[in-house]
Amino acid sequence: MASNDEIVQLAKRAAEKLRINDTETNPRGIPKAPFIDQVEKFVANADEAEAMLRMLQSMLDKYQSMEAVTLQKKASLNQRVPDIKETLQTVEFLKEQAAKSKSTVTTYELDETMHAHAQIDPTDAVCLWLGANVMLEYPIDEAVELLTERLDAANKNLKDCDEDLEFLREAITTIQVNTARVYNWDIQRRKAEKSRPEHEVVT
Amino acid sequence: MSEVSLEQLPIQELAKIKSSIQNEFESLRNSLEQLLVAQRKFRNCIATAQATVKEENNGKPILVPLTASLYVPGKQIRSDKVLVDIGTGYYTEKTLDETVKFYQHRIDTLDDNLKQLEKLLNEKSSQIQTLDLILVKKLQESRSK
Repeated sequence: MASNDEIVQLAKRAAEKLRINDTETNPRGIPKAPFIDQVEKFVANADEAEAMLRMLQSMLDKYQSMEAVTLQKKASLNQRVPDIKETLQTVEFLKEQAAKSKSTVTTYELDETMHAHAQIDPTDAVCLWLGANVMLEYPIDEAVELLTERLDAANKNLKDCDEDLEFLREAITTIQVNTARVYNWDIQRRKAEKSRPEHEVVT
Repeated sequence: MSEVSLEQLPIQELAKIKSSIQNEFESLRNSLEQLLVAQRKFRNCIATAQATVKEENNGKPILVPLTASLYVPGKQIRSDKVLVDIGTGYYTEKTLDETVKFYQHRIDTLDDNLKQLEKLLNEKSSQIQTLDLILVKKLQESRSK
């Protein structure tokens, strides 16, 4: 994820401004959004306020695009997990049938809305569609092993996605609060500037 | 909808009517496309059935698709019949003749629907044209004032 690096850079710059020495990250390397405690400590004038606002906006964009990517990933995982589960159950069923030397009579989808009959004799090998137009034949035990691994990996990924999403939502909120705070500070500064006599205005 | 009453309507009203007719037109065209897709699927089904449902295919070795990513070596049995989805989750066993007849009937029904839809679409598009003419006229009138 290229946007990850950019966020790191931006967060570092913001952190420097905020006098934070190290940027925390979550387990997947997503940097934590720094919270701007006292605006006046690091935004001194109009230019700096504008620069800070722009930086916050671009951080917000990055976090939001990462959120979109993560949501997409989660959706595709949510689709994949049931398929892996189903495949694993089927392979385990075939293993039992083979152990009993039993044939299985089934139907399969021949075309949309049309199914045909088939018989599966006890088999010690199954073919797994691996994607990218590749299908491999596996001994049943290896297939079970592979599918179990894949299921675990997918479930772990799903958990990571949820964690990341929570983390990103928090970061987005923090950035939004920061933006509001800097913005309000800038408005107050402008007001104060206006009410001051002409010759005292120095920026 | 008589044209006399349309002529009397203000431009904004006419534009509103036009956009609502255009929306109808779009949704009708979408349904038309969906029907065409469905029809193509049924045609494919007939072709598949004709290629598969025959006695000589009985016992032939095949890779049976059990899930989206699992294929298992097996063999074709009872190849004289297929299970056809007749809607609402029910399947019936049909011979090749029955299958072809079933899908052909569906295709014919869709043909009737398609013809009706095309008629409606033509009506809508001529309505849009009429509205366009009136709108142009109205705009010219308001400009010359």
